[in-house]
Amino acid sequence: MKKNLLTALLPVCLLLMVCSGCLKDDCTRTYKLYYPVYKSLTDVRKNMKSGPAQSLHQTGRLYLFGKYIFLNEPDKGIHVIDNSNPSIPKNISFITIPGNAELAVRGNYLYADSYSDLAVFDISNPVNINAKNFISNVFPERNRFYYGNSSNPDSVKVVVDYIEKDTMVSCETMNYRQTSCVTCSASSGGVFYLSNSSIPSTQAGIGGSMARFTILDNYLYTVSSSDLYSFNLSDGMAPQQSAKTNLGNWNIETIYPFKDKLFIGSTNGMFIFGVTDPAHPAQLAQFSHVRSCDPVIADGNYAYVTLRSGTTCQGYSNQMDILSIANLSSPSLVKTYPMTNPHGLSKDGNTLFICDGKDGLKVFDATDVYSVKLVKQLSGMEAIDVIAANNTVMVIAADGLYQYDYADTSNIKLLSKISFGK
Amino acid sequence: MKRIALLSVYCFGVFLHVPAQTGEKLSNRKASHIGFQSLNQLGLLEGEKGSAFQLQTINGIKYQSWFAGAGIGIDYYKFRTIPLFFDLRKDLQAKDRTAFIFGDIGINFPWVKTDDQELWLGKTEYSNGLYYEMGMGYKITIRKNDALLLSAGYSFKQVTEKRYGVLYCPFIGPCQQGLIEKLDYGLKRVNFKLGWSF
Repeated sequence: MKKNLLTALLPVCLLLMVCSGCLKDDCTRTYKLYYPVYKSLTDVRKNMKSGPAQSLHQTGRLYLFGKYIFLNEPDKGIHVIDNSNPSIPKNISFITIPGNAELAVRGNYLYADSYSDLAVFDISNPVNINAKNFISNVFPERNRFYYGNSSNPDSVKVVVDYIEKDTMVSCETMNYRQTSCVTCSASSGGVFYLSNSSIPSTQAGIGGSMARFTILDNYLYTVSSSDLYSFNLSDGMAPQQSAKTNLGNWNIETIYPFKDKLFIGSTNGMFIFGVTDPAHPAQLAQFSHVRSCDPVIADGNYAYVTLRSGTTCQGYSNQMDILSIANLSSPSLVKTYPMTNPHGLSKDGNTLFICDGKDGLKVFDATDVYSVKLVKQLSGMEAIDVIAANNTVMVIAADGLYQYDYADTSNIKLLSKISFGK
Repeated sequence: MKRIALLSVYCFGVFLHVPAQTGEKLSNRKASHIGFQSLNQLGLLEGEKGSAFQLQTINGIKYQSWFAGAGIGIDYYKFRTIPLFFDLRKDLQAKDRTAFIFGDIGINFPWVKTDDQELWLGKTEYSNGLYYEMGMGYKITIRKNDALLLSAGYSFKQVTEKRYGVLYCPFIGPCQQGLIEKLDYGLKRVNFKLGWSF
């Protein structure tokens, strides 16, 4: 009988072994599919105007102009915030600009990119901000909708939104990045007041150190990943492209103006351009460093470069380099300070502000560049970019816009926070 | 599934029709006692994804022909996981050599919760799922408390894999990251185990 039991088990095992070939694992793949919604470029341009304020959702470029903060909502437009009282900033309007990433303001005009177009907005009429002019396909590396000889805005189709659909398939159905929408733009509209402003028509605002647009005197300078563009703003409403300079580098990230120089940051170095001939900036110097993301700012004799590692930046360095630019043709490293994951930076007098990622905002006394001292760390936020002016420091972080009073750097006070909505 | 169920019925039939055994009745002597028992098994898993090993230790209480205990193991099939489960088994005869049936149910924990390396610019997260197993076997009592266990059965484990990465990149500015896709696995295997109980 014992034999019977064992001999009974053997065929069972054999049968199971055979059966194992019949077993099929279950596997389902769940993801979102995005179906594009198209509009003609003409219709898209008609909708580029002010509308009611919208809640902030995503970290974008920060720009200060007089009493107003302009905050880019990536790919969607620009929030306008009345910052007359930094303790109670008022989100007053939203300008719809599909495909927007960068901005700069000078006098009564706001210059913003919309995919590969440069759009000019008249911001002098507070209740009726409209796009006044478009320079088509001037940033060709951002072209999304001009194909072949198509240039008629009526026939050019633009993706303005995506309809989301949850999708479930068998794992064997291949998935090639269905979740990646080319751009997820939405529509809306905005309102604000500048008409009583005493700001001269040629005065420009202040951009963050991570900006790709900047205005220096009569020119708007922008950088793509490889080129420096110059636009003459003599006629503010009708910028004229005067030059496109190839930088010989495919990793350009930021541009920062100081006096008659442009400081351009790339992932593997810093360029200094002179604007003696503002229509045609000329390279004066280059300083190479290890591969990292690197916004740069400058004051009289020194440039401050933050290097950070990260998925899109590659590299492993997290530090601040201070360079001597006393001899502009040959910048030299003065000292390196270790950081955690530094992003944007700003300097007011001897006070240096550095957004150090998840470590928050760090405030340094940079009186002596050889001995920069940390005087305060404002943690509890993931700081991305910063603008310091008039004793108020604005910090765009992963969860909102913070403002602090730094009149007394030993006692920096939070004035306000506009949180991102969900 | 149908084939497995039919096979189980067949196996039950085979064992239930085996006439009563003769022998030393070691099992009979201890059958009425409540006592601690530890089962330790090494197994081979066979399924669509190929072969893999499993290790298990089950510890619990034996009462008459019943055993109930808690088990933990390592399961290398497709994903290395740690099943934590409740085990119930019954000897079909009060003999030194007897067939038994068993069933396990519990939770399957992934060995690795997150994997930053697998996806470019992203990460993968694994989460817990259901685990169950059922089967039958043959127990050969060697000494009073020691026995050799041979078993075969069907085993199922669930694993959820969430892949995070770049959702989209604007031409300028940081890429937006988030959940790209979720994969729900239901892995079905047959298993063959060799074990020792004491």
